[in-house]
Amino acid sequence: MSDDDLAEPRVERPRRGGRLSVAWFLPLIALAIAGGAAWRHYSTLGPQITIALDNAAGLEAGRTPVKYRDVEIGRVESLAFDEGFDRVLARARMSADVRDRLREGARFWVVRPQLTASGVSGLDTLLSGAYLAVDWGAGDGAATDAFTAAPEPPLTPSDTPGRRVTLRAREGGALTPGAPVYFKSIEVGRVETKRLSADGDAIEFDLFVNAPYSDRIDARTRFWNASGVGVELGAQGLRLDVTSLAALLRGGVVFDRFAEAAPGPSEADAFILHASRDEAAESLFGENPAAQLRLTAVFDQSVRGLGDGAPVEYRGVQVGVVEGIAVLPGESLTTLQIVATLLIQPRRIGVIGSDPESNLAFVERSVARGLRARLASGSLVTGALYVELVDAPEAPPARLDLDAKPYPRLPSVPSTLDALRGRAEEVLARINKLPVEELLASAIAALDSVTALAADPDLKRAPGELTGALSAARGMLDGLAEADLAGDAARAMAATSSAAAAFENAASGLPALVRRLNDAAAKAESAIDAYGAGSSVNTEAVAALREMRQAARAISTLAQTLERRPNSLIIGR
Amino acid sequence: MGAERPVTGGGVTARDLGLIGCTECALVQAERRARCARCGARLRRPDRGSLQAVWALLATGIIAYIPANLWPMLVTRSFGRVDESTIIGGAVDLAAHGAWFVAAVVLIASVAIPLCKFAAIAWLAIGIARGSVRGLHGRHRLHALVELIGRWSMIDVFVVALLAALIQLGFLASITPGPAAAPFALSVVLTMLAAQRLDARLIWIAAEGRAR
Repeated sequence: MSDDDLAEPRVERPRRGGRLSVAWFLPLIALAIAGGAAWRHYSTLGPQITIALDNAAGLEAGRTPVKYRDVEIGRVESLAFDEGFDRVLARARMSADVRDRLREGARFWVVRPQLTASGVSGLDTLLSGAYLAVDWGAGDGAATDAFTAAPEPPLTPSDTPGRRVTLRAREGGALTPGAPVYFKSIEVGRVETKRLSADGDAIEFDLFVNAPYSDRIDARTRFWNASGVGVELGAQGLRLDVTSLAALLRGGVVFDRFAEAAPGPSEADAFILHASRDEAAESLFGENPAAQLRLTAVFDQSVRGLGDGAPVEYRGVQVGVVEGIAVLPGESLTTLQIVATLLIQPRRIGVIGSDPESNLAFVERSVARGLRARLASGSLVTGALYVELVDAPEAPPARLDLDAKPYPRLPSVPSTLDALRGRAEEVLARINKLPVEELLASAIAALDSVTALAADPDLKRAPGELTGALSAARGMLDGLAEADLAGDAARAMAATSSAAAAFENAASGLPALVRRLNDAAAKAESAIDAYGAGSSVNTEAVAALREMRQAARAISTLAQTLERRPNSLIIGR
Repeated sequence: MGAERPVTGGGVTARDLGLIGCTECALVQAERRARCARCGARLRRPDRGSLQAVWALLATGIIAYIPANLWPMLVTRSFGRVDESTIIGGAVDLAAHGAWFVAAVVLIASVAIPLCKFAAIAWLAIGIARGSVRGLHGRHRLHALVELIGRWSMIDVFVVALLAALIQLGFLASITPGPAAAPFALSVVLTMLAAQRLDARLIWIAAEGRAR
């Protein structure tokens, strides 16, 4: 018999409740594996959190992941509304290892494709769908499971080294969140938020400056707005200032340190955002508010064109600004005064001291030497005015009125511009006021009376009388000459001395005659003058006078000859 | 030769004659032999203890079937978008897209049939253990049916394997088998083994033992 034929040794086994089959190991192993898998699943199953969103655009329940640094750490399980249907609540199951990161301060946001001026982001979500991203924040808040999603992704992750500063600006300009921050034309940060300040007077920006550059922010640092394009036409030609294309579109902030400013660390996280680099540089002089001087000046002229912030200049250098313009009752309370408040930076007028008293004393001395405030035209086109501090020693003496309210009053002089304008106006007014009609009427009347005068028979007679007087004088001279001629030398020789004496007597009367003739001529002249030049009367009179003068001269010569040589009458010259 | 019994229907079993049939080559030989005289295969005597193995395999199959349905069967990546679908979820998606026929095929092949198989094997095993004499022919036919269908239950796994092999377009679209594929295949294999281990002869022997 072969081995095969041998009967198998039979092992008796109990029929019921007998030995367990080895096959039972299989389900045990399966159970162990399944249990292990289940345990692993539940052990990695983290907390469930709720994220409140404005809308669920791009989110899908069961599909949208929650990612941190692009690693999935959770998944949106369901989307529902809150009680008021105001928000969407995304319930997400997070993995267990982020459990203790889920604290207040953690920020969630939806990553969607974004196309902005500064770049494209979230492009991968175009195909894969949106996802929720998280930034854990400081990680020191209380544990929570309810979060509110931020409408915008935070521009800077919370763990980025750097410094966050707040800027305050009067005008926001084109600056928008996401705009770059430049330091020496290197992009070093971002504008994160833009909001109206609590008091509603200013725009506040939150900036984040990345680590190595954030050390550059100290007391000397000034921020200014680099939005848009700066075009400057100066002595060096045309200058175009564009910080970057992104800055052109979204605005930008530039900061730099100014050596002029006092060095030192700045603990303050709030800075002023200046409108331009120039303004930022100007601000350096506004350093010490205690040293600032506030003065007022009263202007008699219109201050149209003088606005708040208008410069106060001294010989072309800005030394302050106009802080405000008010109309206040004058001293007599019946008049009104225009009072401009001037904010003067004493450093700019050469006063270094920070003591307001000494600064004021300096201004007082300057005023005594002739410092005056005056309105000046900044632009002929716009009519903008500014306040000029001028040295006017010729101005009437005045002093700084320290008692004036609210601030010491700086005496002012009328503006040249205004004086010029005033004079032109005055001239025009005078021209306007000229009584042209009356003038013409009186001129006509005057001419009429002249005519009437000329027609007066008395006047006509006057030259005749003169002629008569002259002929009489000539007759007298003729008489004298006749007496000369009639003298018979031979006969009269004997009687020479007596005759000479007689002639002497006669001659002594001649000067009086000449004087009288002269007087008459002068009178006649003045009379003729009155008749005006150019008239026929005048010419005649002048001719007559000329003759009269000649006559008078001839008489005077004769008289002199007779006085010197009385015998010349007899013996000739 | 005993009296005519209803279970054998007038026929005679090898066991009645102290013989044993080889399950491989069907040679009937002396029961005391350990191996088949012709093909050398181990001769398996109908043993109710083998039911334990059936139960164990069935239980493992059922356990494996649970993750097969909970985990995703297919992972579809298209344009970077990852889509994971479980068997039932995929069928529901198909139905939602209007592919009712395909959805029905998937549901029947992957859900209804395995579940029915579990139930059928369990029922058969319980019937044998209790030596039930009722519906012997029906149970026998059911066993044949379970064995026949068993091999077709892998259709789901085949579909996944085919899709995974065909659709590999990189970023555009790609399909990979999900973690459920392995337990599903395991479940099918285990239930097939369970059905195989269930000795149909026991149905009759148990009934016979009762009848005796």
